[in-house]
Amino acid sequence: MKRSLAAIWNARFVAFARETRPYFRYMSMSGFPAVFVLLLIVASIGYMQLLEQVPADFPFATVGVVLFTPLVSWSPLRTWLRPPDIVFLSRREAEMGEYIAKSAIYNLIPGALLALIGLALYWPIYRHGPGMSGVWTLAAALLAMKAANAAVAWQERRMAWPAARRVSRLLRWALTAAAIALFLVQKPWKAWLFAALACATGMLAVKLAQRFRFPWERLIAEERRTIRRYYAFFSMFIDVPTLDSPAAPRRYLSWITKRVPYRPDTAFVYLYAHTFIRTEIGGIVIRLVLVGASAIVVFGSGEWLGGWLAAAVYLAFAGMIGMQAGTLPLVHRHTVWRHVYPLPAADRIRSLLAVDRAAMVAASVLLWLPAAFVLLPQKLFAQAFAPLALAELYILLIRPGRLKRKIAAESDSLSD
Amino acid sequence: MTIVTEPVLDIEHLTGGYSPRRPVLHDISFRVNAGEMIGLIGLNGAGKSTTIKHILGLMRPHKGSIKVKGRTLDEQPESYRAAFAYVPETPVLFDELTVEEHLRLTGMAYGIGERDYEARSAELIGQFQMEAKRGAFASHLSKGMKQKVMIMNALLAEPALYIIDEPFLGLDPLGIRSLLERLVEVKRRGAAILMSSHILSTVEAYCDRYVVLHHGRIAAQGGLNDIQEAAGMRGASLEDAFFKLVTEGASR
Repeated sequence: MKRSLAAIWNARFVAFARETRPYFRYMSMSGFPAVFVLLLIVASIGYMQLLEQVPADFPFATVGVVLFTPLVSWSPLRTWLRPPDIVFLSRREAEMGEYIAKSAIYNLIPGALLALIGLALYWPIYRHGPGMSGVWTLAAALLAMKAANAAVAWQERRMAWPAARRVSRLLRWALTAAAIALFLVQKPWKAWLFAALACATGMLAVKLAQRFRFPWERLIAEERRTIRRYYAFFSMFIDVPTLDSPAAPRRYLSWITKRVPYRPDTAFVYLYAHTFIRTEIGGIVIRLVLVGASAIVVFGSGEWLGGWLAAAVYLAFAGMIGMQAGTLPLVHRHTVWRHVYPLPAADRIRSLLAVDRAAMVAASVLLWLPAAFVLLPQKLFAQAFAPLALAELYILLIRPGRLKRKIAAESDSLSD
Repeated sequence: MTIVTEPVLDIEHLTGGYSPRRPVLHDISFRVNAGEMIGLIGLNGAGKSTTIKHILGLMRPHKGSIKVKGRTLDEQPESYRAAFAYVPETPVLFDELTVEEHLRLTGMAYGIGERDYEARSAELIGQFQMEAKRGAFASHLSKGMKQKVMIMNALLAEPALYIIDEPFLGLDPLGIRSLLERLVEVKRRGAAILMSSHILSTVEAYCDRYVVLHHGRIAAQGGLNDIQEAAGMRGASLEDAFFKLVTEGASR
């Protein structure tokens, strides 16, 4: 008997929940939730301070656009699709609408809730500004734009050519940002008119592109990437099965790996430097540096807690970067190549430590630059230099030993 | 009588497998000399890959010894490993390296001088028609191209011993020809080659001797005459003799 596609969807959802449950437990037992709650408390203190007296020159519209554009435009889709589905499910392509509808609802509800939570936080500030939209208007607009984005994003997934997809996504984000800006500063009817026109344009534009009936490979690739991100996150707390990560070229960083000298004793440095830069590890570290840098600029210039808040944010992000970078030893542990290369094991460990140290020093200094930029002009020297000194002491003195022990424990468990 | 020289690969009375209680290989002995290509043949599950894993040091022998250029892995792990290059049945490449970077990594790991590396890699990339793919990542290569990269890496190292597991799967006709030409050439220059394959006509045409594995034991070994004799089929092709050996049970 044929199983209904909805039943398959449900079974896969349950399987994923069951598979990841233990990892969530490990995560909850680590220090991560505490750090997260601490950051939340610090952020809400800042938020309360801001609410007490919203400055007249507060950039209402800019903050709103920056806050809502990603919340509304980002349209992920969990489909649980896997490579064998091309063989086994593709013959039921005609029925896949039912399947995808479940995925759409699964992602749309939390997405809409997040947008509304964003509005709940933003509204008390917005009230003080010159904006003309009421809270219900904004809520309705956000929900409508969220749904329209999800619909257009689905059509984008169907597009046959990557370039078309990228252009469409860029356009969608830009139009969404513009519509949000209009809702925040203009009369609501003008904003609605623009949003409706933008939506109609988008719907028509996606029809022009060549599309698949059902984008199997696209969805499978997207699903794989999502799962990998989950595991990249979990790998900060516990060993995860495998981290097969396809490479992102990141050609703008290739000058770094080109500088590794051509010598037998640097072969592993050459390998691990590429691994760090081109896998998900580097991707997440780069994102953490960018997000951390923005957070430091925001909290540093407001002179919150006398500049110590920026210092705390710096250390929190440096810590998260350290955790992520610490997963580097896990990447090649199952590769046959390691046993085939005529290199001593000590070279591998030494190279791992060297790559980790270089990456951590670079990331910690890059993350420090915005702190220096905002704190030093205010003559907050201790707040600027203390966290950097702490981070470097940790990276150069404490971290290598810890990492070495971690690698040793790792190879013990493999040598049986 | 032939002059006794030290074989490049010397396997003596090897018994091995994943669990000491259930050996997969039973008392395997054979040698590969310099300038010789040996075909390792057998059905699926006969023990070809297990034999290769023991040579690589990925599995430990229960009994017997394996020597590469007279050394065991335990005695001198580094020079043992540097003495051979391995092409696995399923290509294993690093996702984060391009074709060219794989070659460079091999060059560094085997300690090939930078000049030699440049010359050899350029030649190999040309010979295996990979010019357009030199900057491509492993995930963007077809199965056959990945196999080419593995083969190019092995050839780049110019080791004393090549261990090649089922190299023709997925290779296009030009790739197969380039590989065979190169193998003949490195053999002429004195390299030893152990190649496992199911393409018996190619094995017959290119290998000097054959080792027939069946149920983890050596069913026959030697030149074509020896295999024919073991099968009791004078004048038969390798394929016919092999078929008889494995369908009528192993006999020494």
